[in-house]
Amino acid sequence: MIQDFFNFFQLTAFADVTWQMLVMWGVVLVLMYLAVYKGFEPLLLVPIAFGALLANLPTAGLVNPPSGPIRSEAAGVVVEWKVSQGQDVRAGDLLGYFQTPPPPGASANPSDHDSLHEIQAKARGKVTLLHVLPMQEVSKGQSLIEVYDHEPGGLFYYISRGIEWEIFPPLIFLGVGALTDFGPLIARPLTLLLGAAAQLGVAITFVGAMSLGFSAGESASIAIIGGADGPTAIFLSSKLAPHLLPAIAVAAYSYMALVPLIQPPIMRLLTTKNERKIRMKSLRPVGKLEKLTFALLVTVFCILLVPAAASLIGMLMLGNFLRECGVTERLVKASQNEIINIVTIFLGTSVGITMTGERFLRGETLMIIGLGVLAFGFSTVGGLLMAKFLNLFVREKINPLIGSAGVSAVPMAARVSQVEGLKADPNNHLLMHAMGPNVAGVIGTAVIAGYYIATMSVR
Amino acid sequence: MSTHPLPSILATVDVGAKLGISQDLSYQGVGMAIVLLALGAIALVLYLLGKVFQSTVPAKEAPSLQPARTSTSGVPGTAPADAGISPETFAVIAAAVYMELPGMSRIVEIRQSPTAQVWSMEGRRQIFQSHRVR
Repeated sequence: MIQDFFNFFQLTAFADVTWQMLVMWGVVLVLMYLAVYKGFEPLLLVPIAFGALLANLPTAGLVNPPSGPIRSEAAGVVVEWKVSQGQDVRAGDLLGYFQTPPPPGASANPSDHDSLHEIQAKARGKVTLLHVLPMQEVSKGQSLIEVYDHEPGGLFYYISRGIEWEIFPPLIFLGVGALTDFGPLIARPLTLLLGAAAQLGVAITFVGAMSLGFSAGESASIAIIGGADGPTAIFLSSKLAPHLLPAIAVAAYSYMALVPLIQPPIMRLLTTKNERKIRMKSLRPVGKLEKLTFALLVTVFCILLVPAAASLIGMLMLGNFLRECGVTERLVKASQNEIINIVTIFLGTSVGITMTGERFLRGETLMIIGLGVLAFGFSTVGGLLMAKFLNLFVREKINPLIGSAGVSAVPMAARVSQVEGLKADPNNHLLMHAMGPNVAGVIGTAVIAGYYIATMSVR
Repeated sequence: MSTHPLPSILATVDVGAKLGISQDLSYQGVGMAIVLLALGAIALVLYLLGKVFQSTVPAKEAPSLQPARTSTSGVPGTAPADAGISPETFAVIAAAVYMELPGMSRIVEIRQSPTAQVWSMEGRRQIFQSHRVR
């Protein structure tokens, strides 16, 4: 009987717990504490934290990919195969070696860059077909080898396709568009420039990340944290630096919750008391036709300018058009509630499931968290300084405090402007004025993300 | 670590490339310029569109966009602003509020129930009637 218990214990997963998993359990508890008891973006951080917990348990049938073709992740040549047709393999087994050509401008010596990569089995099964011969050139995405097994993939393998195939962030944008009133922005179009200037943090953080040794794709993904727009950050990093996705998502959503702590000292430092007391003229009412024209205008113009951001901008404005047209109430309700809520659960848990100890417990995670503060800080500075700059020319002065709302973080950043404005003048309400740059920041972040995607090639 | 030539808007940067500081600054400068120009262009078009809409729409839309006009005071003698309800009805409502609620009250909004709601209320009434309260 004791032997039976011993045999059963060997079937359990207790022995598979690693020290990285234990550390990550601590990280999960911190994230859950921040979300549940401190109210830090709980809608995202709770699913992320729970996904991270699942990622750091020795699970079975949860994240494993299904068997099938293994495709090349870049253009190159298969150097050699280590398996033959009909051979049984397990997940992680070495199947062969793959070589990528050196990046343009790099030295011809292959030892100067990591050009040789292992081809590993993603699932257990039988090798049924070798699609390419050794030293045969292949393009990115081409099928290299076929591994077959009757077992399907794990639940989160399929859910995570929503991030990998860039489905979830645009769907979240559909809901954001349906929830956003662009009226304050249309009433005072000048505030679009505040949203544009608030991308300064993105640009400066890119330079900072690059100087710390990150590559162009990684730097862009880290820098976009400064846009304070979670779906855009996930969209960009899943495209340019998927291995950094968990750290970037956690940093982006944590700092969004910390906006009321990060922004006020910078706002007070860069503005005088008289500037903070500036009262702005009431916004004019904006009609339905004007709002519909705005949605169409932004869709056409932004997609023509940066086609790479088409899915984000397109879905954002589709959601907004549904909201403003007034004849699609059921669709608006679905976008504002069911769709965005369901996708948020899947998005959060899919991000969390990538937070394995091996990927998260690295020095670069700390660097990303540090660079995230830099990004938020400089984005705040950019918006504030633009407001002050515009005041040199405009007749109706802008309260610079609304400039800080140019970092998206809707509507948190606008609320910070309101609170700081009330501290300077208890009768000065800036909330609606701050909503203009706040929603402009969403468009600005999508445009700069589109710029990075358009100008960077993933080989 | 290899350094790559300055990217132009028409060229592409390799995702794994490392840029020198001056190249990096130029790259970011172009990015910021594009964002400012894009949003600036939208702002300009919106400003012009706003002028057009303001010159044509206000006469039709202005009354419906002022919620203050639909409210009235509970003080007898205050002129009602909503043309849909007669002054007599306002007086009756104000008097009823004055009699029923303790202290001074202020009527902020008076709305008529949409017709559809009457049918749903009838449905609810029938459902409740079918249950015996014990």
